[in-house]
Amino acid sequence: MTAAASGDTAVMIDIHQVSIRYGALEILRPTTLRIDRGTIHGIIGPAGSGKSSLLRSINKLSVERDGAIVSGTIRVDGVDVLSLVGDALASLRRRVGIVFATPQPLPRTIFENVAYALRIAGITDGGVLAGKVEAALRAAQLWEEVADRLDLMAPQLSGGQQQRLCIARALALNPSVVLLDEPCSALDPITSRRIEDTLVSLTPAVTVVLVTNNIKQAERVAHTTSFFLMGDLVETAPTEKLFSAADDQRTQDYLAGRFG
Amino acid sequence: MRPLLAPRTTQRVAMMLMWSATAATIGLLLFIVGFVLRRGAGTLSWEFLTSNPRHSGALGGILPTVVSTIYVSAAAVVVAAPLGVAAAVYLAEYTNESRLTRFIRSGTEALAGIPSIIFGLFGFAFFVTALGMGWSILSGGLTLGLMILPTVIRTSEEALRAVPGYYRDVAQSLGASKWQSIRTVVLPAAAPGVMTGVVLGIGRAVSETAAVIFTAGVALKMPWSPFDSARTMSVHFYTLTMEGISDEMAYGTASVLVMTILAINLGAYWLMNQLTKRYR
Repeated sequence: MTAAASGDTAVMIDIHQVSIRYGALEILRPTTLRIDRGTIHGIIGPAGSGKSSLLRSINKLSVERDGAIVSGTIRVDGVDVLSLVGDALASLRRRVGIVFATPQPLPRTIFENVAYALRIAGITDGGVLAGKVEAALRAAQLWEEVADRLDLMAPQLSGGQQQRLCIARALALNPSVVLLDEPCSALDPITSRRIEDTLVSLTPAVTVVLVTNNIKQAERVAHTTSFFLMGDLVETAPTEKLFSAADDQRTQDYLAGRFG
Repeated sequence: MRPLLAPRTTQRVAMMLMWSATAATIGLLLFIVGFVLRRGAGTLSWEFLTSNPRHSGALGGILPTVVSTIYVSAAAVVVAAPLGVAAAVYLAEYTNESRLTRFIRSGTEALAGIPSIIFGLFGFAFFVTALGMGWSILSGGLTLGLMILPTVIRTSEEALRAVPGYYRDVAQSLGASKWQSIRTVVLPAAAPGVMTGVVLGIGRAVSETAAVIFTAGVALKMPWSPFDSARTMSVHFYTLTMEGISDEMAYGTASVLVMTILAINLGAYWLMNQLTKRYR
């Protein structure tokens, strides 16, 4: 039985034989990876190893926005993502939030940034909007800092606050998966720790996939971790095992800081 | 080898050259505007703006030409703005660079380079004669609309391309369709630039003579319907001067025209500032 056809309910994200190309350039060779429901999965590896492209394929953004050609199958909660278009794809994206590398607030107020997805989903009732925005901001651990100034333009927040706002925005529709693409690469260590705390607090209600260049970050928060190198998935293991006794020599070398 | 001049001297000379270039530009603008306004000042009055012309414009005011200018320019914007913005959205958001887009873009640029009198001749042959619209506000507005279309397309496309890609990533990742992301996020962010293009277009439409004289006509009376012939301020100025009717009236009209265009530019500048403030 193929992985794609399995009905294993413990698996939230089922990536089967996925390869990614941009034109003639293959940046990810066929890769199979399963991520369990309610866990944090770390994806590490040097730049150019295909991590971000794989992450952006989980909600098909790589195909629509970057012109990537993705083959294989990706199932999120049993739904075949790559075959989705139009409303079905929009509906999937409401259940799979994404946070990008640099904080990217829209040029709107704090409230409207979080409310954007809700409004697009057709929610217009002011009370419902206010409740959901507050819940999302609380889940992203930002509520205390911005409760009295929701009308402030989002780009005026500090970098760390902006990134937590982006997490809140991704959480507004109660997604079951949140994808993060090096969310702390533009932040200082203390702010990064706050983001990490936020991510940990999201589980097990939410499945988190965390692409990071900071291997220590993966070690701190991820339950399982995959190591990618130049378009190949080298190995996946429980984080503790990967960091203490990786099977592959290349993984050991990377984690020991011998390259990358 | 030692430089000819000490670095500080070079710096000073360069500063002076650049300052003079700026001063010359501003000076030239002030000179032209001042020249027109000084000669028109004697004629300018509230009465001049709000009364009808008498004796072919040798006496009285210019009210119908002011109204005609507004109508013809408004018609041009109504034609060019939606068409231009839609074309720009198509070029910037919906196509990849291909032979077709290069063809469209070079076609647009060629259109921008065509002398306005050719637009006038085309408008006369097509709208006035072939479509039977006659000399009218409609013919004039449509012709001017086509004439300013390239400006609107070009500036709008550039404004759309200047909107960071991540706005689209964010909107679409939150469940917005491509069109929703354009409508709710990309276009509002591009609005100041799009506005600039539209205003540049309005400026050209208001001041255009050649294309209008063939299409809107020269009737010196208040237009009551889109099918009425109308004389804009620029055409009125041209007629007053060329037919030697009245120099004072001509410069009075020119003064109003110049101030109108300055006002449009200042208004647009203000509006743009407001919009940028809102979306930053």
